Amino acid sequence: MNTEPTVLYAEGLTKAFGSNLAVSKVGFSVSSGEIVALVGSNGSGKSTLLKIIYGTLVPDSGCTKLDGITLKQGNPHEARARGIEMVFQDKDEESKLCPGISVIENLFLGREPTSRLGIVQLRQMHERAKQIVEHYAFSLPPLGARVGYLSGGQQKAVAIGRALLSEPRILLLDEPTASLGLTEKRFVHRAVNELRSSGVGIVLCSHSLEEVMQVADRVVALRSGELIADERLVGTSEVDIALLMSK
Amino acid sequence: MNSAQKVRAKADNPDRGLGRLDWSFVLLALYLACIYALQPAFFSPNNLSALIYYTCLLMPAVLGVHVLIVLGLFDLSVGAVAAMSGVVAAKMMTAGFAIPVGLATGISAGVIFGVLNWLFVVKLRISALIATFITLGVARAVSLVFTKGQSIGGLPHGFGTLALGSARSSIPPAVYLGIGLVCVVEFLTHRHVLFRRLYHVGSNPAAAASSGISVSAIKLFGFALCGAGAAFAGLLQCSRTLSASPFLFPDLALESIAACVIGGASLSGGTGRAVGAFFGMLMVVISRNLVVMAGVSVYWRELGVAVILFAAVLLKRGEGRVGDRG
Repeated sequence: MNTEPTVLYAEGLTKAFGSNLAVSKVGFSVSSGEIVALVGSNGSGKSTLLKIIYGTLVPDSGCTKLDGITLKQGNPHEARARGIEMVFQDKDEESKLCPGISVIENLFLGREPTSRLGIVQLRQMHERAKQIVEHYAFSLPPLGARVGYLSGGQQKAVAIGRALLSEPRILLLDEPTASLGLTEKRFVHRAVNELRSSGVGIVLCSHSLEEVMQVADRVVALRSGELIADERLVGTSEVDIALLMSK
Repeated sequence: MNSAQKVRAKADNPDRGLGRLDWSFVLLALYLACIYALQPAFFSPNNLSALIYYTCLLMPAVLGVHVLIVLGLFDLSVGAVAAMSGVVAAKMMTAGFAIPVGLATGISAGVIFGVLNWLFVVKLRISALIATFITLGVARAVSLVFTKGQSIGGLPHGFGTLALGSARSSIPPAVYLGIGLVCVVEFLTHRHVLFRRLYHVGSNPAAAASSGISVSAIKLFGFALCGAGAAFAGLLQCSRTLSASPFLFPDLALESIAACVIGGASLSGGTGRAVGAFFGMLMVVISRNLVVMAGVSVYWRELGVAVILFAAVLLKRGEGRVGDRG
């Protein structure tokens, strides 16, 4: 049993798009150093839930608390400032980063180190990026290359690198390995485990039950926007999770 | 560093060196070579300095449009706003207010129209084409109502020093102002976080917003800068002639957009450089001048710009740059 303190607490989150109820009164928590897997079939509300927590979507009702303090809704700036980072899934516009600018700028997008006059400190950015690359034995594309030139896998690496650079307290990962090769997948799993041991709480949204079994501590299952299960993974098999999803 | 490493370093960092300006430089060089072959008189010092002077007079407005194009937006009202700002400033000065008060009022009028454009485009979600066409009409109407369709003359001689300088000035201040502004904007858009935001938002507004960047505030900044730039260009023109006319700059908006595209910007946003916009505008001004120099009918005037614009688009497409998104 995880005895670490609860860091993130979502309560009664509800979001409808027109007459379609995407998420209905969903609540769950994430502790420090815990990996929670969000599972469910397509359209079950997993990505919507993550976007509400990160602030790119405003819920119709409910709230999210970080360390017991309610987060401002629909405000990714505050979410990032308080230590929540998100890696979007490939089909989201947000996941495409900024194609016309360089890898290094995308890594620091929204939180560039600057002088008092607002001049971007490029050398500091390069040094910090190199530290992360070395720390996680991470393979990043050339830092000066434009993101628009990179392959989908390389862009995903930049998105993950961006999340790692900010040393988050809560990391929201929406299908982080969907477009990756085996080596990159291994790297993501290794980084996720390393972040867990350093106390970061992680919410992993994934279609791969194998991945869920490999890294998660707890599974939260959604169906048609409703929470149908919130269970620890000790002694649970892939078949049990599949059954949970199809209940 | 051997040559292979140099090539790789350039590929890794396309912003280093000339980068995106390569094509606008090539285009300008080719264009000048053709002109030299056909019309050597074009290269007389007097003609060249007049071309640079006229380009510099327009640069504040072109740089404003450049900022908006980087954001993936544009403004059709810059010409009308430039004329209106000149009229407002002239009215103030002829009413007895001091020159700095007139200048401040003119610039403020431009900024107000920039904010109006922002309100229409960002808050009311009207397309930039329609919104800035509306403000174009409003700005022209304000100028015409203020002046009853007449030019305003008799502006204080001190005002003329802004564009022309004193009798001892070998290079008019407008040239320093124009080139200085290009250098400042080029530096800021490379290194200042607020100006870098223009590229972030223009490149992918969703990614910028999800990174905590206020897309709406950055667009407000862009529109306000564009309004201020248009106003400054209008004031420089009025300073040059010591008069203000409601009919000035009928083609400035489209010429500025053409200059930015010739200079390497993409209308999809996220790309473009101030130096490129300068060379682009220089080519537009040269085209106009060439028709006069060659003694060709003025009815052919627009064709020169059209041909350069077409060549720039073809060259840009030839680059096959994925990051341009268009």
